[in-house]
Amino acid sequence: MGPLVPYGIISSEFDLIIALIIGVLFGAVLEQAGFGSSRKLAGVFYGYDFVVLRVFFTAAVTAMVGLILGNHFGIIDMNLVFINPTFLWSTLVGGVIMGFGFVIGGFCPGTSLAGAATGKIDAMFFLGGILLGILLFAESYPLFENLHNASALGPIKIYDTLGISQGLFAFLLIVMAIAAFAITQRIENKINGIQQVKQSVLKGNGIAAAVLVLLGVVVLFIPAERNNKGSIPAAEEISALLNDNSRFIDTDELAFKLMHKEFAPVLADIRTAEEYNYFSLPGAVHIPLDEITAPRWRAFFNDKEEVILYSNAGVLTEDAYVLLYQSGIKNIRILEGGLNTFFEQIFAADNAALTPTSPAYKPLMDKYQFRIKAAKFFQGIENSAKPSVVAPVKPKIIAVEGGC
Amino acid sequence: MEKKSRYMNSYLAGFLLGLVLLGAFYFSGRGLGASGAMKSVVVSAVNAVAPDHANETTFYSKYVTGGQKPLISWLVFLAIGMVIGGNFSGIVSDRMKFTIEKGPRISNRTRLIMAVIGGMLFGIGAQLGRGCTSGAALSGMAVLSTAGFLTLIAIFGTGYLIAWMFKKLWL
Repeated sequence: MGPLVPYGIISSEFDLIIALIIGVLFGAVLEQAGFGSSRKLAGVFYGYDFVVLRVFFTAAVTAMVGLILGNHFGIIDMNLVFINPTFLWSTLVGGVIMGFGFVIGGFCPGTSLAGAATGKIDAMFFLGGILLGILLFAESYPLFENLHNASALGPIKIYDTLGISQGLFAFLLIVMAIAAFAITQRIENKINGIQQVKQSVLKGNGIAAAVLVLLGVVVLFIPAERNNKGSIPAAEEISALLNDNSRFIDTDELAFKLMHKEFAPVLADIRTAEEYNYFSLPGAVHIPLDEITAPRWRAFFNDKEEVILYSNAGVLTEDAYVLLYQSGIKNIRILEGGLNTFFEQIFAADNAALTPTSPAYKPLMDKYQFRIKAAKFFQGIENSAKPSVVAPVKPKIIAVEGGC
Repeated sequence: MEKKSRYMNSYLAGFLLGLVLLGAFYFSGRGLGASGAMKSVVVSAVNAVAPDHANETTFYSKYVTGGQKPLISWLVFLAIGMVIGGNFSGIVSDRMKFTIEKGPRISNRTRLIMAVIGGMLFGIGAQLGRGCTSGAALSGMAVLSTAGFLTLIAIFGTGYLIAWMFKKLWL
């Protein structure tokens, strides 16, 4: 199941080597396509060479269809793939500035690398210009900051923005690409004075278009989200589940586990990010309730012998427990009464009332002494509400940051 | 015509580029990008020359605080690979040559000045728009992000609208 590095199937140490290899292929393909040449690139704006449009659209459609099919058949988990977020105004204004840069400079950053690598001096100057531009942006960032962060819409999808299904959008994009290929080819031929197009070329183009339309029809019928929920248990099963007290872990057992390294529990904090950042138990991973069944966490749960969920009062954890159980994850227990009960019991003033008066109270005596110890242990933790004593463990499975 | 045919068929090149992009998604969970590496170069250079300034400035500080090394990053390695791959491809296809490409009506000097100005605009635009043609537009389109399509439309829409103004540079 991909993506391999974020999923931990390939160690992240190899990620840079993968980047290098992919970079070599990327650079080679750009150069082979003719993207090292500013004259070919600028041709797209003047109609004498539409290579940019052909390569660009073919690549986008190929990758889009590959990702839709890969996600559908469980080969790649799109929840772990970086989706660039939309910041409406900075995206548009940035794009307009880049449009000027493209026409005036004749390159874009990726193509200028391919150009510079083959000795194009104009590409090298363009690269120098990029560095200057970034420096200028960085030094005057306070001027741009508001615009840069305005209307943050998150990683939204184009088909949602347009209010149509993913399949329909993909299909329409493919049809548009074919139409664009055909029209621009005509314009290009006209401008370059090519009268006769070889019959074999026409035939080849026809076959390619047919294959693309076929792919478009396939993706048209693929739903956006793969349904990977397990079978849903019947109501009786859930009620039986909630009558079974073995799902709980109590204050003393959790305290014991936290106090002894060799029993260190795997903890999942299902509260809001704000609460988690303010205080969390040592080593807890933050998995908010609304994304607890998201595929990105599946490997996390599957890897562990047992995961202990906690919330403030223990109510949310019941929901989380049922949701996880329904999705087939059963190696979980929940902290009874949540953090509130946990700290109440540990620091209870009436622990003193547990003071035994006769030997019959031996178990209570032990409990008392344990709680006294635990109170001391957790005193430090609670006092240092932010940040928690042991830095919360960052989940290993996390979608990568940033694109270009 | 002879020279032109030496480039790969555009559709084949596009298909291969799509596969490379898929590879990036499949292995590393991210798309391709080029301007990110250049940002790392700028941040590292500023940090080397004026570390105090880098730590105090909003833009740089998030990349350099806590001893981060912005040059040891995915996008920088990708860019290094791109230069190697482009160079290799140029050698194989016999296209290695120090030249300045330009329209017939301008001097080399004008072309180089325009290249620097264009580069600067692209550098600013790519920072503001969170990615360039490859990182924001191409990779964004592949994952069907709204940002990807908006970036595409903004870059090429602007390009077509203003192309007549800069006709002299290319035709």
